[in-house]
Amino acid sequence: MISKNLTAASTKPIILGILKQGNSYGYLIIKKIKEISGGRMKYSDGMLYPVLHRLEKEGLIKSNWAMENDTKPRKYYEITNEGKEALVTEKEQWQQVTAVLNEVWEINPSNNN
Amino acid sequence: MFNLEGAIKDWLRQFRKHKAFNHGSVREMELHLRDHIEDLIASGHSQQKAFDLAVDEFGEIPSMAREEFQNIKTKRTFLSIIDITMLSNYLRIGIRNFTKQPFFTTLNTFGLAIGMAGGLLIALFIYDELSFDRMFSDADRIYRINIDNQTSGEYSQYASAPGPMADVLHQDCPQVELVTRFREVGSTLMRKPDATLNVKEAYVTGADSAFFEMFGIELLDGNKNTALKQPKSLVLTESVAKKHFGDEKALGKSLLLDDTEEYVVTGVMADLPKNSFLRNHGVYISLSSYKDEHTPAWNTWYFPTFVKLKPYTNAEDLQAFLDTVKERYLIPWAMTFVPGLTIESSRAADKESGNFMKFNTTALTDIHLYSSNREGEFSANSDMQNVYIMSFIGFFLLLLASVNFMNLSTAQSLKRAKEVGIRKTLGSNRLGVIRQFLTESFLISFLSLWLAILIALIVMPFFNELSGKSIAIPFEQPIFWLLLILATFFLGLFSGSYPAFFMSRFIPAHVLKGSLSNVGGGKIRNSLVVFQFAIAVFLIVSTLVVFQQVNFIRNKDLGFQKDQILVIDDIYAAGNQLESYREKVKQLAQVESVSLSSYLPTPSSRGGTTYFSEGAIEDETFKSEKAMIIEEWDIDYDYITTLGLEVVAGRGFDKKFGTDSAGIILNESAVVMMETTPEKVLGTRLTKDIHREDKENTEYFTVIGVVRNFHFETLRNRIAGLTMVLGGKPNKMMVKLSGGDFHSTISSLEKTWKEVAPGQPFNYYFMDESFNETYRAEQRLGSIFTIFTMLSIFIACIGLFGLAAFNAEKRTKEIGIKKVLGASVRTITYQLSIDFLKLVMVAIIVALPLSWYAMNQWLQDFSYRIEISWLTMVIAALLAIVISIVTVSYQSIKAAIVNPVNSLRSE
Repeated sequence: MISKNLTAASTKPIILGILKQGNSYGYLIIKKIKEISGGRMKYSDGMLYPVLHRLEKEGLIKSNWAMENDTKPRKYYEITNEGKEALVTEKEQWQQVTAVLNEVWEINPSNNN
Repeated sequence: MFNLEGAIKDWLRQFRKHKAFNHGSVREMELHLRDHIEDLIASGHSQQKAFDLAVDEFGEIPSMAREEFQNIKTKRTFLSIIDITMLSNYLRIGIRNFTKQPFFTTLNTFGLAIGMAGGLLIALFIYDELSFDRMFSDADRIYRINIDNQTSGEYSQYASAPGPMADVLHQDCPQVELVTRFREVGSTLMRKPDATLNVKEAYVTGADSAFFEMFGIELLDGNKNTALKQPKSLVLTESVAKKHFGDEKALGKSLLLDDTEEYVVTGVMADLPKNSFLRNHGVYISLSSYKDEHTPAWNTWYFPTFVKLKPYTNAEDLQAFLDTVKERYLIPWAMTFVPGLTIESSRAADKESGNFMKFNTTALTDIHLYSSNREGEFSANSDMQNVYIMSFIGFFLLLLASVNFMNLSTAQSLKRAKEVGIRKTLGSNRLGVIRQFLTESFLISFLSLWLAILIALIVMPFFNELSGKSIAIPFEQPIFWLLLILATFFLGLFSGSYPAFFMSRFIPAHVLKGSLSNVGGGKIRNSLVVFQFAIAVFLIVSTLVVFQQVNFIRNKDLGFQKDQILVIDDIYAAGNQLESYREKVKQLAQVESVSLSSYLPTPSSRGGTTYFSEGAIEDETFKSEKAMIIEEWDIDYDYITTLGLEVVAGRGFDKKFGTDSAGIILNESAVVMMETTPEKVLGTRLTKDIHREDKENTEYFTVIGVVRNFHFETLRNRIAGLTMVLGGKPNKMMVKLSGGDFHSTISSLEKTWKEVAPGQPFNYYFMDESFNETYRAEQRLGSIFTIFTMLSIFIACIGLFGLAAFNAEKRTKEIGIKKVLGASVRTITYQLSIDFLKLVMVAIIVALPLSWYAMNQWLQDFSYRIEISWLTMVIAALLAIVISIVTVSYQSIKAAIVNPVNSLRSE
């Protein structure tokens, strides 16, 4: 199980990443995260929405209501160019974190006496 | 049976508690939950199980709300703060509240309106003061040349320059684009050659042909390029032309001046604006009409000279040039007739004696406010100090009104505490409450604005009378309305802010429980009352001091008799009949004595004459540092007795002595300038005859008497040196009358005048009137102070009255119980009033030292002034106390006499 803090920290790149693959709405996004993480990332579904709204306010994503097959209206989110740039930055940062962690954890016997 | 729809509805209701979610968000959540439930049902869960799981996975709503709120908080815009949708509700509640509280609303509106009306009048006054002379084209590049001169300890400032200055500037100062020169001319009698009656024009000046170009003045009739070129030509303003020629065309017509010379009207121009330095002058005589037009003499200080600088040059360069003028031009000129004078010797002499003569400039637009005391000003100027004083009064008037509003509103708020509590319980937040109260204060402000405009309109004629202006409210100017509305908006915001923030702080649980006394704000209300009364006391002291000073000046022993002296102007019009007129006047019953002279002991522009005492001549040359430039008055044998001047040494002029035409009389200041005493100075010989080649024939005057100093300038100035000699061309007759009714004497004087000088106007006035005219500025200040002091006291009283009413109401039950227990009306009245009196006392303690200091500063301007006595302070304090007692006691007594049955019934 991934910790709450780490989950929260990774929400932004995850949402942006998912939206980069195509427009989506709240319920689908959370469903996808759960699928990909195989249930290892535990979310309260509701906490997704403030994040979505914040990203929208920051201009990284935008939204519009749409009717699909004359069923229910859905609020679709779409990544903006700014959002794509932000995603690149996030990606680099996460890779750097991973790289640092790898370095630290790669046990070197000569240093470990 | 589980009701899914009902469950979802219940769940959604939780969101409404949090204002973080707008309708769209809630809808989004709902769809999310429904999607999830559908999926769960599809995978085989029951409705209830699916709902429980979905809700569980959705998580806690409060923590989500907190997150979401972060998004919303900073999203506020101007419109969202005003909350347009609620505005009509705020307005409705506001109006309902006003009609429910007519007493407070009226007090509030009136208090504010009076303050605003005062503020509006003052703002217009200040605007007018600051607008002087700005209408002339290139006003920012025009400067007037001045002289600052100190000779023998006598300092004088002139608003004019020597005759040759204009040419020098024109030829040698590279920064100068244009120069124009005026020449001082006294009042002049004018008539059409065929008319019999002369009309006196008091404001006549000589002007050269550059005049029109300098000030950008166009002629209505005539050619401005040639109008002032030829000798014996003159230009009139429209109103003067109308006075002499009626509806006839004035151009090309002749006018006879002083019954001697005929001039041709070569131009007519529009009357100059009321806020220009030339506002009074209606007759402009071509400078070429005067013999001294091209005078080379640098002691001709009666040519007001204006220069227009080239664009992008600055006044410092002009000043730098002026600093060289004395040594470059003036001294070389003086060297032609003062043997032995060199630039070095003049420098050394100045250094030794402390004498100096400097040229400097006043910007055209500064003339009205920064040039009040110079000699030879075209019109009486104002002083920047008045603008500051008025701004100060205006500011405090508005502040008082505003504070009043705050006070009354917060006091009233206790009654509205429940309203606030209920608003808040029903979901209004603090901002909503603030909006409500600000809306109300804006409403009152704009209501007051209309009332204020109405008041200003009604008061304007009186205000103009008082301030000697002709201000109109500029209704037709959009900028005026814009500023007015903007100012009202800010006043509303300022006045409403404290009550709004104060009331929005109420905690519903407290105020709804009914504990009104918890609401508080009393301390601030009290300090506001203190503040108001401090200002009122300050203004009372100021008014008293101004009036005492004016009275002091009026009643001060001036060293001469100003009462019962009738002055007849322009007596030279009688020509050779003058002596016979004098004899006839002397024979009138009420006449005690008669004197002929041009010089009155009242302030006016008089030139200086350069005198040397015999001792100041060494080796047949005059030592310039010993020169005395002092006024010389031409008087007659009866002058000293008519004016009741006191001779302290020697004697006055007397017909018995044939030699008195070579005699001279000094005042004490002149004796001091000569560094001697009245007794010793008798017999000293003085001369002003310094230009002659044959020094042995120099004409001397012998000092035959010294008169006690008398005030011939305003009491702002020290008494300057003065000489008096016999002779001159008198233009005034002073008639000293004995007491009684003057009417018959005046009509006999006029009748006799008509006999000796038919067709000449009979202009007369009493000297004390002319004297009062001199102190018009102080009197105006006094009247303006009184009016605004009364206004501010009135506003403060409205506030106090309202507070007292509120206080009495708040304590109704307490009073009722006290009365039941046997308290008398007197005790209760006393108890209710004493609280306010304490505040007024504090205000007095604060205001007295401040006002003492400020008024002392003001008095420094007067050479002769009163001391502010403690009595003034006591009177001011008592006045404030009495006024506040009267204000408060009405409410207190009203509350105290109420039958306790009525006040306690509701309990």
